[in-house]
Amino acid sequence: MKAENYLYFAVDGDNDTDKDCAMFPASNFRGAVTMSSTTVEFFFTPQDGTGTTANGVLMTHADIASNVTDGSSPYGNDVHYTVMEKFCQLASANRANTNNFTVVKDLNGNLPANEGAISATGLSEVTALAITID
Amino acid sequence: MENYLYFRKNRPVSASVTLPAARQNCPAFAAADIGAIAGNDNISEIAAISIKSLDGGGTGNYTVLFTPKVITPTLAYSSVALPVATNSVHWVEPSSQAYENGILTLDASGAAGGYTLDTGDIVTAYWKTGLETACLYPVSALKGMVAASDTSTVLHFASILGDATDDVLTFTHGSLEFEAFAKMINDACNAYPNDGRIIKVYDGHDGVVSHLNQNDLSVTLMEYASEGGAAGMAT
Repeated sequence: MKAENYLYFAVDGDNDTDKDCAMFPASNFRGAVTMSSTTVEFFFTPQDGTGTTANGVLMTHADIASNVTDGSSPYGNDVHYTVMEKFCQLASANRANTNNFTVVKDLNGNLPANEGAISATGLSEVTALAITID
Repeated sequence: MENYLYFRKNRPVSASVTLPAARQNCPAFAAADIGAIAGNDNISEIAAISIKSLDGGGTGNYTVLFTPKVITPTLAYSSVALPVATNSVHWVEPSSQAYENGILTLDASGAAGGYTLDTGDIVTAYWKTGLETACLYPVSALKGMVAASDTSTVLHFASILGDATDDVLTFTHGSLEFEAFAKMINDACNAYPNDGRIIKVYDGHDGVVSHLNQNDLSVTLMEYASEGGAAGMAT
């Protein structure tokens, strides 16, 4: 059986309402697109079986504040690339003898007493999530 | 395991036009600078607009000068006229201007932050990272590629949104370089066969175009036509 990697996302909520969290097989990833200088959306095959209305996870990250920080244009922003690169690393991270449960970003604040996040909290560059599942 | 192919348009980038007459609608920017003009309507992708006066003939309202060295001061505008002199440069708020099909139409000086243009004024816009500036596709989404001309190659990817219309990337390159372009894509798809990594195929960042196999071909421009179109890809 081919090992599959499962990607977990949780918004800044309590994991107790609709679309607070979601998980997709990495093989269902369709692509990602920048939406603005501070957001990039990752798209997945829809879970409703229609195949025509993609599910998406919109990730928010920092904008560039000044060109003096990277020596390039004040209007550039490479944070989206860092987010995409780390996502690819996580999506390709399935290996033998692991559970292949991969936290891309976990912002859930409703943690069990005396316990930490469900696993690693994921990409440090991501500050907010929005999950769309039609 | 599969690789993920990363593409970024020529952004950020700046482009200038010179006013042929005293009017508020500028000539269209050059497609060679910013990509296809038709449908190029996204004003939110423009971070700043400057006007350089040819001879002091224009009229500008007062505006806090917006230095391109820093992108996030809080901007404030008023309706106080500012002096326009030969070769003076003033900046206007992009979000209050109109932009359609690569043509900027600026507010006149009667509006806060407006500027009444004169013949010979040079208007420069600065495009930043924005909607559909960059995209990422798994190799498995690649449907194929075709030469559109001796200097243009088109890549088709399965639509991110999932409808029948492909997402299309169009590249401008040197004459008769399709074969070299095809080898570049093959190299990108098959690199690191045991890993699965992000591969930066084309990156037009900051006026410095880079792509794979730069010694074998010269790609100068990328246009991205996603199924979402001008309305965007957002779910």
